Amino acid sequence: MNHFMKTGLPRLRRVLSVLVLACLVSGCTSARKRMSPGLGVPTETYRPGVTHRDEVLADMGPPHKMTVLPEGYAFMYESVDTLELQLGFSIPVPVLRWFKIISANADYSHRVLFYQFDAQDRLVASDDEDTRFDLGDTLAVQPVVSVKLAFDTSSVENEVVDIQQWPAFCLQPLPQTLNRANAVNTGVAGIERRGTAPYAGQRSTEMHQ
Amino acid sequence: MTIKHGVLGVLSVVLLLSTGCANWDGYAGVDNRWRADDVPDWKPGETTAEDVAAFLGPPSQLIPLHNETVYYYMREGKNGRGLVLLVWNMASQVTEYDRAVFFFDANGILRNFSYSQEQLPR
Repeated sequence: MNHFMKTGLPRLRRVLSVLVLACLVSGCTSARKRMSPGLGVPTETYRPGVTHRDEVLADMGPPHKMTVLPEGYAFMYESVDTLELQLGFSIPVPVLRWFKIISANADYSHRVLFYQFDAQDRLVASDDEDTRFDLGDTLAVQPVVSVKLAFDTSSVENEVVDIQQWPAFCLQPLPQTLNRANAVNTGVAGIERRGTAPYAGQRSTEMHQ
Repeated sequence: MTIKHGVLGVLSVVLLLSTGCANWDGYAGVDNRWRADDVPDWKPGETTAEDVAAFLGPPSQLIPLHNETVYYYMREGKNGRGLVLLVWNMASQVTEYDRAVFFFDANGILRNFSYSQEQLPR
């Protein structure tokens, strides 16, 4: 015991001091959000004019979105995967030691499958796109004991009027409610990809901020 | 006990109290009764829209096609977990959509239906 008090304890103090210092000067965060990661891959080659809607349904299941069109209708399937990586460090001096500076980078991949059918349920057009978007880099300051995402990906994750929040559209600002009949997420006036800025096209009349 | 011991002790306590882990889940949308054990055996050409609505309830969306009516059901499920260790922090969340779609002809007779590969627990 005396031997430990003479040699082991000082060494333990030095180790603990290094650990505490390491915790205060660094911090890494990994945050990942996935939507519909189980979205399958078409097992057949779909051919316009030949492939029937039922073949697509049997292969891919119900779409995430669908809409009626003047001469038919359309299906859309989507999958999103966002990843944010943060590296943080703080300066061990009075006051500044309670904050950490983080350098963060984020990107997301967005997979979209689109199928348009005619009134006879035959495929008119289709596309399968898998794109990766770099959301860029950023610097931020956070309290040393907090963990907070630096990038706002709500535009990709949230719909303007989510199907689950029906009839929340009744509580939307008046320009959006008045455009309800022509909104692209009601199933009767088109389809919109996640992440589309609501400032153009059919949404321009909704006057989003 | 020296001041240095005290500071080290306070910092150690702060670090211990600042770590943690979390799990969360949440659901929105209709009850996914199409995954129930007693779900009827839907028969195209026989099952009616009334049969489907009676068992599954009102759809999430009712979409009028040119010569068909579509009942679209969706349930959203989110499941996430987080780990805060200060030196290394991790968070992940998965959102899945359990879907069912039914196509009826002008007489309300089922033409076709489909369930998603994504499934959520009931």
